[in-house]
Amino acid sequence: MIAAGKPLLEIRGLRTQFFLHEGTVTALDGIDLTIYENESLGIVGETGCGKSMTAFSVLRLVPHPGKITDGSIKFKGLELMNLTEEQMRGIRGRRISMIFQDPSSSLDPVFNIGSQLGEVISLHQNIYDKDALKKKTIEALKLVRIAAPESVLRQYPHELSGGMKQRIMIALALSCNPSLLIADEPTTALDVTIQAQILNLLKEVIREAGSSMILITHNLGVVAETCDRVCIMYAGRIVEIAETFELFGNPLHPYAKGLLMAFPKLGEQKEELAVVRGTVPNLMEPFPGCPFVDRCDYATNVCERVRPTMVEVEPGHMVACHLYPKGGGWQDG
Amino acid sequence: MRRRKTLSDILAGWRMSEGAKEAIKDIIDRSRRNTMVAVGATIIIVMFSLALLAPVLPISDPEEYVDESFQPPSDNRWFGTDELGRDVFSRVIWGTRISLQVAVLAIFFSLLIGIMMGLMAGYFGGKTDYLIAGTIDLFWTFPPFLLALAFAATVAGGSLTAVIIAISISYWAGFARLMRGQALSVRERQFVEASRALGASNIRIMFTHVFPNCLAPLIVWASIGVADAITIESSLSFLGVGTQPPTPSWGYMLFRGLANLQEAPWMSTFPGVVLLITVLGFNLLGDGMRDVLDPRMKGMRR
Repeated sequence: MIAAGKPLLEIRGLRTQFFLHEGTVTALDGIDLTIYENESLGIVGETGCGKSMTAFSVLRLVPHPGKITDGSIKFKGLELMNLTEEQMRGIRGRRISMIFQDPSSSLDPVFNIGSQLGEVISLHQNIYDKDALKKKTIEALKLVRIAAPESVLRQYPHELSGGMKQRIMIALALSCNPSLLIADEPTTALDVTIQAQILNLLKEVIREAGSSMILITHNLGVVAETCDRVCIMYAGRIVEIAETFELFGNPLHPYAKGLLMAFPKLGEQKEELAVVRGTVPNLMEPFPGCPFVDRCDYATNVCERVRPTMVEVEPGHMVACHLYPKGGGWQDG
Repeated sequence: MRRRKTLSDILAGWRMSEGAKEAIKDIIDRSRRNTMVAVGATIIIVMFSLALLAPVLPISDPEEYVDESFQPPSDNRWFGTDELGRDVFSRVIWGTRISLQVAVLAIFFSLLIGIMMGLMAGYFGGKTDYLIAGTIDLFWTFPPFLLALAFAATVAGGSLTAVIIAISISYWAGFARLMRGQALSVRERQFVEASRALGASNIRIMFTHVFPNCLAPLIVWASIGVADAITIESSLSFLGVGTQPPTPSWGYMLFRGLANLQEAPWMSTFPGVVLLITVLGFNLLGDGMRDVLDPRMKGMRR
């Protein structure tokens, strides 16, 4: 799986900072991440760890007063950081698409579904012929398993359920066959049965289209169900990347261990759930060492002072922690 | 006997989703039940018909001396005649034409400027907003009437175009302010972010997504604005810097009537009453539309 695909999106040393009156917040601090073709990657982490900011940075849509201050983002070998705003618009929605957390507010309430879908398709594919456009929009709705596309085309967002709206957002995002779909907590606003439907749908349509997906979530269950690989983020940095099975079976970073411990298992009786103690560090103060040091049970002196680098402990399993020294671990044994 | 076409029958023929039809039917139904909208709309429709039909109505030429001066209202001359023997009824109707023409055009241009400025300021924010909001505040500090008076009295010389420009200049700031506030709140909504992520440009987002979502309050204010513009036009004419004689204008008729109030009260009473009713009509429509367009007022009875 790991070596199978060609790299689709390569992020190197990405740093995104917000310049506020009170100081500078480093939301992303040197992200290195590669997404291969035909894979789905989950990004997991708690609120404010930079999951969504990674997505916005890839699309170069970091909201004001934020700025990408360093790093490179290569999409199919094309450096996105050097593109003009107009070239970037051609990428968004056509090559890289994004869907959002709350489907009810992601659709414009004053237009019906047909005209919103039509807008995206005519914008990117230059189709203006009415009949051709209608055929395309119906195709897009069929792709997301909508039973009566003709009537849905004429409906307005307020007439549809949350699940339907998220299907339509997916149809919008996939209408131009993008190579990469970024789904930012696509199921958070939906109830549990619909969540499962939408996740299965995402998995299927991505496979059919031969695209890749980045799934951003704080729900490890969602990741386990949907993704090939998982990347765990903490305080604007990536702390561990591994294949899903590998990560769930053998978490290395103390934070990843803590997260999995805190996740209740079916059939297990527990009085109290395990927690990761403490809170996230203030991103406004630069820290020289590991961001997790205050909450870590295994922290040593070196964790305070030196920033851990990514180490490949097993093939495809990378972790940034001093417990796993470079060149050590499995290679020595 | 043929059954009268109902609203639902008409709507059934439209190519629209059932939900949209329901929403439109709902708005029309509520407008009908809303006395203010019904009365206001009736007045406005009558006034517009009179204005449009003025040239073909069987009334005398408003600028011709058709009778003796100061004739009181009679079967023949409903509103009497003025000091030069012109038919007051005919002049009031032709005055409607002038007033509505000036008011509607002035509000149209005010809206045009106001929407563009407000949309840009609210959507882009930052320096653009700073500049435009400053300009809006500058215009906002003057009462619209004073500004219009100053412009009409100094720069322009009494042509209809000049009056329209004067009112537009003095009135756009209110629309711009309203539009800016609306755009500020709409641009934060997620569908704006979503369309940006799907590759839409700023111009496209502004006009196809932000603007339509700001319409409801603008419609209400535009209606009240027309009433204001009619008042401003009449006031300018009353003071002699608006529409110039012999063109019939309510304001100028009021002014001439004032001088002759003792001997011929009908000269100012009739244009005054018609002016009042017209302004009332637009204000009622505006107020009523506010209730109709406000979803929180749904189901309330008036």
